[in-house]
Amino acid sequence: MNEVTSILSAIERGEPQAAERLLPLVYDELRKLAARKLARERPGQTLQATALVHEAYLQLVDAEGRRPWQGRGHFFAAAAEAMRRILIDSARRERRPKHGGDRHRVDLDDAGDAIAPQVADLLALDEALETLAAEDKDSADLVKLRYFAGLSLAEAAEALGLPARTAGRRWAYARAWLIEEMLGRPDSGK
Amino acid sequence: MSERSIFMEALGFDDPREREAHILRACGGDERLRARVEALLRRHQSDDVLALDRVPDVDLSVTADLPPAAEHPGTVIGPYKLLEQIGEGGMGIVYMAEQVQPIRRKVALKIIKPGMDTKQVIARFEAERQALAIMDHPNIARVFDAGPTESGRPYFVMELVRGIPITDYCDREQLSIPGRLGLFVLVCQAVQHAHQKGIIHRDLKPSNVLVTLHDGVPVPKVIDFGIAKATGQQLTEKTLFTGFAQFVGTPLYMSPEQAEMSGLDIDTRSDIYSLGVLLYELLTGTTPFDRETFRKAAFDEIRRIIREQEPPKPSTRLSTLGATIAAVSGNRGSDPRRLTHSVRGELDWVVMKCLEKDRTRRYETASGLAADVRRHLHDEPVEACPPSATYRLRKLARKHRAAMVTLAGFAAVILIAAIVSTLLAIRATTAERLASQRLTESEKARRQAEAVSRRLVDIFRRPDPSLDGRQVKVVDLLDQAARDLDAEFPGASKIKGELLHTLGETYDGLGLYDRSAELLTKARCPCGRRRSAPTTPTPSRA
Repeated sequence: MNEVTSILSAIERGEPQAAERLLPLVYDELRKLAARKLARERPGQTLQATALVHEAYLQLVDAEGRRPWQGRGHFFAAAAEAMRRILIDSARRERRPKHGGDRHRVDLDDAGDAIAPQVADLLALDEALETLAAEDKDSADLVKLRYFAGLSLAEAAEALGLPARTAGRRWAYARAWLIEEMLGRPDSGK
Repeated sequence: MSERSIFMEALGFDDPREREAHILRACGGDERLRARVEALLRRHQSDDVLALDRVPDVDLSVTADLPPAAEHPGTVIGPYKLLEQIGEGGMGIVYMAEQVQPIRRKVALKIIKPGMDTKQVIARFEAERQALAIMDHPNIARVFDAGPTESGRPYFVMELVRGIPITDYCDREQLSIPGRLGLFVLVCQAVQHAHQKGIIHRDLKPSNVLVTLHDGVPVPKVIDFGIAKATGQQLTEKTLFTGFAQFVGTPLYMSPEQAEMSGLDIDTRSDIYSLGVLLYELLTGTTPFDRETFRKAAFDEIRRIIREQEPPKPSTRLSTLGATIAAVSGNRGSDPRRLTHSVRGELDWVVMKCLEKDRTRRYETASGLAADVRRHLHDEPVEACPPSATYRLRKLARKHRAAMVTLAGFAAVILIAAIVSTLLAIRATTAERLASQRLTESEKARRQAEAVSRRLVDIFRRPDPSLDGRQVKVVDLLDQAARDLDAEFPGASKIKGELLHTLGETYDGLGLYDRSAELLTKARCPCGRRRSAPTTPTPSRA
C-alpha cells in the first residue's frame, strides 16, 4: 500500500493527525504536476484546477482509476485545501494594488457587462469562505470540494456522503451566501 | 429553523406565492431572517452566482514560482542561514542554522511546513513559540527570535540543543540508577517550571528530553512543546482549535485521560504520567506497555490498553525480561540481581504512583515527584506506597519470613486476603461472562476457584492432629498451596493463571524472589512447560 493510501486508511480508522500528513503530500504532488505541465506547454498556459486535482489523484492513489476507494472523500478534501493554498498564494503574488486595497468589497457590477469567468478577486472569496466556514463548516467544505478540487455536484455529494438533492440545494445556498457576502453586507440594505 | 434550512426548503417550491408563504411561515415573524432569506434567494436567481460555477484556472507560470516544499541548506532567513535539517514534526521542520547578527552562534530554527499554514496550524505554531518564550529554565530549550519567512510562513528560533535522548545517553554512559535518578530529578524540575507558567507539555518522551554536555556535566533539556497547551492563559489571539479527535502525544507515553479523548480537561497530571513512563524506561529499559503490542494493535485497542490494562511494576518487569536482563543491567552498571533488588520496593511505588489510571492518585506536582525521588536517593522514607493493607502485610511478612508462626497468625490473613481478592476478581470477570450465555463454563470456573480457596483455607482451619499447636513456616504453607494448585488445575486456564500470579506476588512479598519469579512466569504460561527462569541467584533462605 503506498503512503497516501495508508494515510487514507488511517483517516478512515479515525486516526487524527493522519489528515495533517496528507495535506503536504498532496500539495507537493500538485506543484510537481503543475511544474511538469508548464515545462511541456507554451508559456502563459493555464490549466483547470479540476484536471490537476484528478491527475494528482491518479498519481497518488489509484493509477488505473478504476478502484472506488473509500477514503476518496478525504483525498479530495485535502486536494481542495492544497489547491486553495496554491491559488491563494498565486493570487497574493500577482496582486497589484487595485480596488484601492479594499479587499472586502468587489464591485463586480462596475466591471462592465459579463462577470469575469473567474472571480476577480480570489482573495475576497477566500476571506468570505473563511467567514462561512466559521458559521457553517458543512457548506464551506462543499464549496471547497466543488470550487477548488473541481468535483462535480454528484462527485461532491458522494464524497461528503450526502444525497444528491441535498448537495444541490446546499450548494445553491453556499453560492448565494458567498456572493451576497462579497457583493454587499447583509445589513447594508442592498 | 435556520436560514440555511429555510432557504433549502424554499427551493422546493416552484410557485413563487407558495414559496413566499412557506418562508413567511418558517420565519415566524422574524423580519430580519425573512429579509435575509429573500436576499439570498434573489442572489440565487441572479447571474452573479454563476461566477462560482466555473472552476478557476491555474496559471502554471505562477505556480512554478511557488516556494518549494521545503527550504534547503543554504537558504537565508533574516539573520539566519540554514545549515542542515535536524528534525521534522507534524507541523514544522527544524533546521540547524547559523546566526550572524548580533552574535555569531548556531541555533535551531523551526519553520512551519508549506501547505500547513491554515489559521489553526499557525495558531498552534504561535502557541508553541509563546509557550517557550514564557519559560526561563536551564533545563528547557530557550526561544530567541521569531518572524515570517519571505513567503509569509512563520518560523521561530530556539536554543540549539546538541544532545541525545536521555534514555540513550544513560545507556551509553552506563549510568547507575542513582545517576539516572539525578538526571530525572532535573527533568522534573523543568516540567515543574513549565507547569508553574501554566504550560502542559503533553508529549513528554525520551526524544523530547535531550541530554547535552556543558563542561563535561550532563544537562537534560526538555524540547518540543509543539503541542503544549496553556492552562488558563491566553496564549494567542487566534482560536486554538485542535479539531476533533485530537491525538496529541505518542501512544506509549500517553496518559489514560489523553487516550480517552473524551474532551476531559487534560491537566498537569498528564505530564506526571508521562514522567512516570520515562522513569520506568530509565529503570528497566522498557516501556510499561509493550512496544511491539502497540505497533501491531489497532488505534482503538491501543487506547483501551492504556485506559484499562495495569502494567507490571518495574521490578516485576525486570524479573520477566529473560535473556535481555543482562544487557539492561549492564547499561545500568549493575547485574540482574542487584538491579532488581534496587528497583524493587520504593522505586516501584514511585513509578506506579505516577502511572495511576486515576489521576487524583498520582503525584500532584512534578516537584512532589522529584522530592520523593530525592528522598529515595538519600535513604529517607518515600511518600509513595502501595495500597496500605497489602503493603503493611507484606512488610510484616518480609520481616518474619523465616520466623515460625502459629496457624492462626497473620500468615493466614495474608493468604486469605490474597485469595479473596482473587476470587473477587474472578467473580467480576464471571459476572461479565454471564452476560453472554456461557453460564455453565463460568459457573464451573467459579466453583473450581472456590474449591481451591476452600482447600487452602482448610489448611489453616482444619484441626489436623499432626499440625495441632505446631508452628509452621509460612513458606511451607505457600508451597503447599502451590502444590494444591497444580493438583486442582492440571491443565492451563485463566483462573489458574490468576491464582499462580497471586501466589507469586505473595512469595514476592516474603522476599522469596526466585520462587516468586518462577510462579509469575508460570502464571503467564500455565501449561506445564517452564520458560527458562530468570538468572537470579537464590537469596539464601536464612
